Amino acid sequence: MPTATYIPLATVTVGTSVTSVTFSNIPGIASYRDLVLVSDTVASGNAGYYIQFNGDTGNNYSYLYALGDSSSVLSDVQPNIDSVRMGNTSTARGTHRLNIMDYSATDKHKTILVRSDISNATGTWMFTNRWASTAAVTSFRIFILSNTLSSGTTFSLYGIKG
Amino acid sequence: MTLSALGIFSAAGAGGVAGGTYELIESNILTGNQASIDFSNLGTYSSTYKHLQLRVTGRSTTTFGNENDSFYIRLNADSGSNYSFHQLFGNGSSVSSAGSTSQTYAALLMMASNGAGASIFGAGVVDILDSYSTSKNKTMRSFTGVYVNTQRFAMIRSSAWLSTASITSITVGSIDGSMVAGTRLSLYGVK
Repeated sequence: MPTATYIPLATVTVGTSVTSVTFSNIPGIASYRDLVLVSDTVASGNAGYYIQFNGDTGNNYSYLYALGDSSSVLSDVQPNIDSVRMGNTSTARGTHRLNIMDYSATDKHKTILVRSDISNATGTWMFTNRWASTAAVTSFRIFILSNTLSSGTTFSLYGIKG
Repeated sequence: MTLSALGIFSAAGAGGVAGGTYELIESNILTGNQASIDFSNLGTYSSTYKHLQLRVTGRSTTTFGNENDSFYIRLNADSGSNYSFHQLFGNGSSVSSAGSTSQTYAALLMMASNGAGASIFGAGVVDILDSYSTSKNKTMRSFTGVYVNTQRFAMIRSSAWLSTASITSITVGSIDGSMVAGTRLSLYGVK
């Protein structure tokens, strides 16, 4: 028998400018299989947009992206760094959709698939990210390297049963 | 300044609002190596769902691709040359595209293989659109990727199954080996 599966867990709206947002106390695998995070960002300027899990600030993350803008395509890779990337922020509105796959599995590194779009600025991106840890995700911190996330930026977190 | 959502999940209503338009049909976590898996009797849901979505984290036994392997999808057990695909992908140094016709499967999922480091799995999400239409060839699209030491990809793919038949089964398997224990395949219906 099919069961309702795509469950909204939290919505956060930034009221005053911030540099990071932390989600914690994330329920475990008994509840959900994947997490989907949708962020709708406006920032004070262009900056890389990143995520860390479980407070891990070690060089345990790697990311790869392919990017298309108005004139060219680009792919780059960053192995063994202290966070994984979700795109850029900009003064133009951007949307970022993360699939954090099997986030509670303790036999897998975590793969995070990201689609990021800032159509009025940096272009459209897709990412394959890996957090080299078999720990279940219990928290994550989203941050930008410079500038701030502006009022009106929103985050919507969903749990997918499975 | 940090905005914290601390404790929000232990708040009342943490179970959330039931997402009644997106439902789990079946989930499989392999307990041993397995060449393929079938989602069958899907015709049961023809009046319930418009689209289907497959979510996978996977790894295969093959060493053919060194660090990665593709998982294939066949609809209604059709192994004829009735599939085509296009893809756009980045490998960390360049972006390229490819496509082909008359394929015997839809290779929509890029996964890790036996040559990858321990605990590394690929991941992918596949949408199977208008699954039960009897007037349209079926379109599938995926967003998939794997990050391994030397072979890593971010990829979007689309595939057509040149049949107007309503979908009754989906077969997923490793092209060059078997799917390993721990591989997870979950099928959802979208109303």
